[in-house]
This record gives sequence, C-alpha cells and structure tokens, in this order.
Amino acid sequence: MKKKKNIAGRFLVLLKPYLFLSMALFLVITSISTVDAFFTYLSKIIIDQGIVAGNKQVVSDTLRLYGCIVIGQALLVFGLISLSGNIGERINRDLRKKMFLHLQKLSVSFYSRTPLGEIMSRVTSDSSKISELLSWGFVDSCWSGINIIVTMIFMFRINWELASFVLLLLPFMLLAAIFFQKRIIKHYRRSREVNSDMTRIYSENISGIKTIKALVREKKNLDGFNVKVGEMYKASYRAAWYSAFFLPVIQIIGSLGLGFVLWYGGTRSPETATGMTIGSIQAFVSYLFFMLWPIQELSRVFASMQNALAASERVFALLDQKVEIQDLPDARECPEIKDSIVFDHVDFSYTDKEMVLENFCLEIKQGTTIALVGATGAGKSTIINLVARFYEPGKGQILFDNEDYRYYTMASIQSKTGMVLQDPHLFNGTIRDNIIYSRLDASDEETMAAARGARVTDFLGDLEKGLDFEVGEGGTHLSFGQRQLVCIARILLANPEILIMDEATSSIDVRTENLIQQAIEKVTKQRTSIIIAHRLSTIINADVIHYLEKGRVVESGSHEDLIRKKGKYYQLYQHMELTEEVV
Amino acid sequence: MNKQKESKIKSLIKMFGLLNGFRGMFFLAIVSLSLAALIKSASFIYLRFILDEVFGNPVLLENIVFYCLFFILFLLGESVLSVVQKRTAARSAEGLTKKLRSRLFGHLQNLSFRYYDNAESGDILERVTSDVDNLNTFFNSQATEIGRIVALVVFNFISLLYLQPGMAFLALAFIPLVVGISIYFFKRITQGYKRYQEIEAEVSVVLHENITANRLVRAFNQQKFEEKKFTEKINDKFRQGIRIMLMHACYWPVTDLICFGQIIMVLLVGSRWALGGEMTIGSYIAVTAIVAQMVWPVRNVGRIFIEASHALVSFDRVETLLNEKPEVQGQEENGEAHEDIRGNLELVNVSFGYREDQSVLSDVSVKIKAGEKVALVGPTGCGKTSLVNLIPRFYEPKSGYILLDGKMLNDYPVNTLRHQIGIVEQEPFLFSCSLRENITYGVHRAVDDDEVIAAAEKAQIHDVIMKFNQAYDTLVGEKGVTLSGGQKQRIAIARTILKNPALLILDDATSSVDMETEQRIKKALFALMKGKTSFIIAHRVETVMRADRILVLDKGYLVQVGTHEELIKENGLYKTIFHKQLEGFEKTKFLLRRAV
Repeated sequence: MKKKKNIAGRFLVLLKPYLFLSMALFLVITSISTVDAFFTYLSKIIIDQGIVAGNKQVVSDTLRLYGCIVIGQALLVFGLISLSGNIGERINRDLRKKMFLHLQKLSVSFYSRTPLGEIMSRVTSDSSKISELLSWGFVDSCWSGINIIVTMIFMFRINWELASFVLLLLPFMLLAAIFFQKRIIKHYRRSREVNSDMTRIYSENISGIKTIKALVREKKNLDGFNVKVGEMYKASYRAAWYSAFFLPVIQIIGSLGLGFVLWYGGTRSPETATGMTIGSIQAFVSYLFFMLWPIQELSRVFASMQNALAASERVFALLDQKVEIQDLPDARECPEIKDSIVFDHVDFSYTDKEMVLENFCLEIKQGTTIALVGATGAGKSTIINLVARFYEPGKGQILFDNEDYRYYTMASIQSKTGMVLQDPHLFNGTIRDNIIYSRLDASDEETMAAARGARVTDFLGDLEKGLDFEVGEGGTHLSFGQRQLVCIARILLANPEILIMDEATSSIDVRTENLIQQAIEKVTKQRTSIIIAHRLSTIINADVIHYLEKGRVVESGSHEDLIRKKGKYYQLYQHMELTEEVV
Repeated sequence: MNKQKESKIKSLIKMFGLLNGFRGMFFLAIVSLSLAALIKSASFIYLRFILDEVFGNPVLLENIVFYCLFFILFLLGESVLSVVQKRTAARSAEGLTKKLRSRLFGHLQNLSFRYYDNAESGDILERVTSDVDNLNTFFNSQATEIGRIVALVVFNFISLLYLQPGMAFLALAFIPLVVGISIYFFKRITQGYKRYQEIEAEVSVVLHENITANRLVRAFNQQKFEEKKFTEKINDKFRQGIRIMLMHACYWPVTDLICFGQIIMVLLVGSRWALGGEMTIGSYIAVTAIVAQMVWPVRNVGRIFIEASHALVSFDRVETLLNEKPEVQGQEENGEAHEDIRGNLELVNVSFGYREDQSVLSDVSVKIKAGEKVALVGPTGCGKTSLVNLIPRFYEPKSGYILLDGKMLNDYPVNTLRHQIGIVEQEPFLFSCSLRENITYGVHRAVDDDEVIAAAEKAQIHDVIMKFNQAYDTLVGEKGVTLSGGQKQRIAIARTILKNPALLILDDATSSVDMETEQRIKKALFALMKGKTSFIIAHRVETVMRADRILVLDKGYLVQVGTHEELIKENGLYKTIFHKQLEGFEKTKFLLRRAV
C-alpha cells in the first residue's frame, strides 16, 4: 500500500512541470463531457418544446445554439489532443533523459549484472508506458468518470426516479466490464508471450539451420513448433472469445435499463403531469447508450493499470539504483604518475560468494609493459578493471605514486587511461568518428597520424572512402582485426599515460595479425601498459610477465627469466608454440 | 498504374485464398455481421412504431411491457449475432494463421542454403512474424470491420428510404467527403508513425551502443558526448511525436465539424418536416438516431483501408517466401535403407561456385578410403569449407560428381545421408533448451541418461556440466547459462559421439580457450575420429601432422596431396605455409636458446 502511495507521489513529481497543462486538460475534458451530454439535452428540447409543442422559434434557436456549441466542441477536441499529446511526449522525453543521465553515472558492475535487454526495455517501452498512463490514461479515466457523472446529472434532471434506477445498474455494468477486461488482457498477454517464444524459435531455426539440417531435425522441430502454434491459437482465440462477449453483456444490462425506461415512460403516458415526454424518453435512451462507452474505457484503463504500474516500478527501480563508485567529496585531480601503480594487499570479489583477489600485491613501474597470463578465472580481467577504477578494491588500496587513487576524481583517472577491450567495440559511424572518440577536438592531421601509427591506413586503401568509411552497427563492415586496429588508433590519438589492453583471442588472418603486432609495439612504447596477453609476440616483448593462478601471482619476471625457471610459464610457452596457427 | 491496380486486385483475391478450409466459418461471420446491422436498423423502425403507434394508442399502451420486451429482444438478437460474428471471425482468422505459421516453419527448414546465403535473417524473421500478424489482424478485424461499416451504411440507408426517402439522400451527403478526408489523413499519419518508429529505433541503437560500450564510454570519459547524442535523438522523437499529435488534433475536430454538420442538417430539415406534419415524431427520432449510426463509423474507414493495404503488402512478402523452391530431396520415397555406409569417398572432377559466374572449387578429384583422417590446408578462401559442404549435400557441385561407397551421392536420400555425417563447427550452434536436449539433439531414438553421460565424458564436458546447479537440465542461452566457445564445442562433440556417424567433418580451430581446455578438446576429438572417415579443416600444426593425409587447396584447386613427411619435401604451398610458421618459431627458439 505504501509502495503504491510512493508511486503516486513520484507520478506527481513527473507531472509537476506540467501541472498547469494538466489542470487545463482536466478543464477541457470536463467541458467536452458536459457539452456531449448537452447535445442530447438540446435534442430533447427540440422534440418537446419545439416539435411536439409546435414552436418553430424554439427549434431554430436551439439548432443555432447547437451549431455554436459544435464549433466550440471542435476547438475543445483540438485542445484535448494537443494538451494530452504534449504532456505525454514531454514526460516521456524527461523520463528518458533522466534515466540516460543516471545510466551514465552507474558503475560498470551494474552493467555486468543487468542484462542488456532489461535496461533497454526500461528506458524505451517501460518509460513509454508511464508517459502514456500519465497522458492518455489520465484522459481516458477522467473522461470516462466525468462523462458518467455528467450523464447521471442530466438524467437526474430529467427524471430522478429513473435515474436512480440507472444508478443502481451502474456498478453491475462496471463490474462486468472489469471482469471481462481482466480476462481479455490476461489471454492477450499470454498470446504475446507465446508470440515471442515463436519468434525466438524462428530466429533460432534460421541461425541454426546448418546444424538442423546436419542433424536431420526438421521434422521434430516442426512438431515442436506446432505445439507452440497450437498454444498461440488457444490464447488468441480465448482473448477473442472474451472480447466477443464483453460488449453484449454490458449492452444487455444496459438494455434492461432501456426496457425499463420505455415501460416506465409508456405507463406514465406523455400526457400525465409527472410522466415523461417523448423527448425525455429519447434523451434517456441516448444517455444510456452514452454510458456504455465510458464504462468500457474505464474498465480498460483499470485493467491495464496493473501493467503500467509494474512498468513504473521497474523504471523507478532503475532511477533509484545507487551509484556505487563516486568521487569522494574532496577528490582532487590526479597528477601525472611519476613512479608506479601499486596494488597494496587488495581483496576483491564480484559477489559475496567467491573472492577473486585476496591480499593481492603488484607493482607496475611507470613506463613499463606488463603482460598478465594465466588460465580463465585467474583474475586477469579483475586487475585491469580495478586499475581503470571500474570497480574499487574491497579491502586494501591501489596506489598511484603512493596515494590511494580514491582521493582522485574519476574523470582525471579515466582521462589518464586508455583501453583496448577484447571485443573491439566500434560505434555506428565512420572510422574517423571512431578514432576521434577518444579526443573529440583532435585535428585532421592528428587523426591521420594516429590512423597511420596504428596501421589503419594499411587497410584503408581497400576501403573506398578512407577514413570516412561507414563501419556499420557494431563495426560489422570491418573485420575483427581491422576493428582492433581502429581501437588502437583511438588510443594513439588520446595518448593516455596508461594503456590497458585485453588482447583478443579470435583467429585473425596473418596479414592483419602482423599489422596488429606492429601497432601494439607502437602503442606500448614509452607508456605504462598492462596487457592481458594471448599472443606469443606480445608476451615475449613485455618487460615483466606475471603468471596468475587463482588470484595470485605465481611467477613473474622477463620471458627469459621465466623460461630459465622451467616452471608454469615454461609449460604454457611450450604449448603455445606447438599450437600456433597454421593459416 | 492500371496494371498495378490489376495486380493488387489479383493479390487481394489470392489473399482471400488463405481462407481455404475456413470459408464456411468466415462466411458465417459475414452473414452474422450483416444480420446484426440489419437488426440494428430494424430496431429503430420498431422504435418509431412504439413512439408513434403504441404511445398514441391507449389500447396498445396497456401491453407496453410486451412491446418493451420485444424491443429488448432486438437488442439481444444483435448481441448474440455480434458474439457469433466475432467468434467465427476469430476462428477462421486464428485457424488460417495457425495453418500458415506451421506451413512457413516447415518451408523454412526445407529451404536450401543458397536461399539462406542470399537472404537476411532479419527479413525472413519479419516475414514469418509481423507479416503473418498483419494477415491475422486483417482477417480478424479489418475484413469484418469493412463489412460492418458497409452493412451499416447500406441497411441504414434502406431504413431511411423506408422512413423518409428524402432524408436518406440528405443523410448520405457528407459521407463521401468524410471517407475522402479519412483516407488522406490516415495515409499521412501512417507515414508519420513510420518515421516515428524509425526514430525510436535510432534511439534504441544509441542506447544499445551506450550500454554495450559502457566501459569504453567511461574509459574515454565521454559521458557528456553520449548524453548529447542521446538528447538529440529523443528531441527528434519528441518533435515527430508532436507532429503526429498535431495531425490528430486537426483531423478529429475537422471531421467532428463535418459529422455534426451532417447531423445538424438532418435535425434542421427533420424538425421542419416534423413541424409541418410531413413526418411523425417517431420517424423524426428514428431518423436522427440512424443518421448518427451512419456518420460516426465512417471516420475510421481511412484507418481500416490503410491497414488492409498493409496486409496486402504483407501477403505479397509471405507469398514470395512460400514460393521459394525447397532444396532437392533426392530419392526420398524409395525407402531403401543405407545403414551400412562404410565411408569410401571419391570426388571426381568436382567444380563448385556459390554463383553461376564464380568458381570456388575447380576440378577437384581425390579418393578417400574409409576410416582415413584427412586434413584440409590452405589460405582463407581457398575452398576448404565449400568442399566439406558438398558432402552432406548442403550444396550441389556445378559439375563433376561425388561417390560414396561407389554410389552417386545424389542417389542417397538427403536425410539418410545426413544421418551418417557428423559436423563439429568452429562456433557450434546450441539451441536454447537443456544441455541434455542439446546433446541428444541429433539422435532420433530414446536415449537413456547413462548413454548421455558416457558421451559427455568422452567429450570431456561431463564434469563441467555437473558443476551447474541443474546439471544436465541446465538451460542454454538467455534463460540459462552462457557457455564459452570451448564448452560449446565439446557439447557439439558429445552430440556427434552420440550420433555416431560414419563420416566426420571437423573444424579444429579452438579459439579463445586456455591450454587445459584445449588439450581436453583435442582428446575428445581424437576419441571421436577413431575409425571414421574424417575431414579436418586444420588450423594448427599439431593436427596437420597427425592426419593420415593432407589435402592442400589453393584458390579452389587441389594443389598437393600427401602425408606431412612427403609434402614437406616437395617444393609447394605446403612447405611455404609451414616455413612461415617456422619463422615465427625461429625468433622464439632463438630467445629460448639464449635463455637456457
């Protein structure tokens, strides 16, 4: 209950900048409902006081009024749509912006534990659901509520006894409507679920077609798929079934009222003093029909409310996500590192369960290149994550020239580090856009120099547009190795003090491989470099090699030292030599 | 233009052909919606009867309850018919979609690789999902919706003719105008929405990039830049949203004005006639009610037309997919069993290209004995993969032929042939079901747990699987665990061990695995190859050296055949490749020597 209140409060916060617009919207809705009901009332006047009474004057006067109101109504409808649309679009924009800003502040750990699709759907579809609820949901529920109230008022004005009878019927109609809507939505949702299952199966079958054919699974897969199709049929059919019944049931309840009106009106014939005139009966009938629609709308809003509330809970949860790594209040700019980066008895774990690093010590001298080698899970990536301050040590500290790096601002640390990740990520855009990503104000000459340094220019000749070649979404128009070269060019342009690199393990053709090797040699020169190394040449060229095992450095030294030692590294080396690629 | 229209009508007729098998149902839907419209019209005439005849007649008035009940009966009848209509429409629409989906799925699985090579998977996916959905909604709602509007207009018009002929034409006056505006507006608005969705997709792309590259953004301190990118996109979206909103904000009031204009006209003329006694009060009320029934639904005609035209486009897309020819099946029906394939393979002058004008393999001839292990070596693009793709008949040779145990490959039914071939790819494809199901994916018989475990043990993956919480029931993919490349490969090996084929095709690249894993994969592969004719697309020295024979391919030609020892002596491509490799070693060997 408290949670609901909380959400309502947060809705108000979202609406706050548009409070004035919302109030205007409310007024517009009220006027529209009143005018709608008034139309029917005018028809009644035309019939009773005009036609039945034989008064031409009343008829033409009323019709003139009718015409004026129609124009007013059209303006009101214009106001309704533009106000509501404006509020909806604006809230949606605000919300998305807010979420995006927050996402920029969140630490890397948030991203590694939250699936991509989940974040995406919160920012896109969930936020739309909220803005829809606060704009059109607001309109629909206000309009329906007000419409029912206004209609009832007009009914009471015409004949209070009959109106009371209708008032009695009203809750039943609403309940019936909600009953049906809930079920329709339930089955509809189920059909959407099955639908997404089907899409998944389809896409799996398309991408796995070779395996399917090789394993001769066609028939079995079709059988499996047919089960899903059957489920889909059932769910959609049920939803259709309920929605087929929905309106008729309300109509039947409504027509009970209608029959009563006719009977009542009939027995108290128009001539009797307390009885109803023909116009009144006609108005009553129209009013009754009028109410069916708002009831339908209201039940729809109620039934879908749950969905929107769930969406808002997800959105607010994202906005409430705590920023784990932040600058200390008195954080300073990080000065140039003169001497070393030191891991001083660092403990670290991603979850509470398993320690990745325990009492870990490591010294990285300024200007040297270190290679981290070892099996998966030895803690290599953790070390580079900590240096880049994507995570912070649980216990112990990381010292930049004997000062805990937590005293420095994140921005200053990150501007010192350059990263090349295992999966070279390129943004949708040109090669140039991607290179200057590390320094947006770089001149053309500088960009070109970086591209040349990273040997990007060596393959640019094959590409028609040179640096303006569009790399496509995720860089798919370039080969893996080429993407890596672009990432290295990016680093050369930024010229950071520290290079952090997670070497790719994928097989790359010989030519690009050579280019990469040269580029790496260039980028590591004169720079503190920490490399998770997989390639023999990188390892051998490193100043110091650290062999890691289960979060511990078990051997370190230069290649020659370690070979002489004939320990774990020696074994690894022999193995690597044997399995170097042929092609 | 005319031709275009003609073909549109043709595909419209074809689209209704989808109803095959559900015609009766659909017909019932149309009949009941027409009847419902008829009853609605009739109820107004009956209303006039009550108002004019019953109310004015004290004798009849005594039976008012009866007349009222009768009126309710009208409404009930209409309700029942609308239920019937929706039900039958749903039945036929859902039924035909079910049939279509199942047909499409089966068809997709039978399409040849040639088709998949040229088609984009996103496009195929869209055809089988959203295009089919469009067809579903067409038959579920648009087709009947149009029917309903037409029936309402027609029957109400007839009722008006009966009540007051003059009024009937007056009431129709503005309807064409509204239809015209409606179609124009909905055309525009659909374009607007399309753009809106495109922008929304662009927003998603920026967001997606930002999330996947979250480390990069932080490492380069580009949060501000990213914010700017995103803000620009959502501002675009906002502007487009407002544009669409304004279109709506104009359309609805304008048509309001027209429709109300129509109603006022009827009221004006109607009240004149009623005052002048040319029309009874009952007729007046009935006429005004009927006009409202005719005018308002017409505003949606544009929407329905546009949606229906989308369905037509979707139908064409689905139809094109269905018309793609499935792959050649071979003599499937002769039922001959080929259980005893030994694995003697002979390629005779085989040439192949993915396109007519292209030549990937040229004149390859080679004989491979049953049980032989053959390594394929050569630079990227030399035709290694294409060669092995011919064996399970994923593609057919352009010329030349392949013999299996002395019999033409084409004489084997495709399925029989593929049952005898096992493939382990570099990046094996796993399905999002349990690990057990993935391992037993290729066997078409009941397999007990012991057998699965034995295969997994041989493939060196059993202890990895046991580490997962749900062991063999662990799901793979989004809802379950993500496996590393090496683990996937071992699952695929287990799958192939269980399948126990006579012929093997392996891609030995073991990318991104550490030393220990690699050793285990190797062990698993050797266990698998025992006694089977094996093709290995070789990447590593070790594998090449262990093969019985090596086929060296260059630009589609088979340039060398022999054992490692033989080939290393020849002056050829093999020697060059091998020496290039050695060069790399030399450097390290030198270091090694210096170090020791």
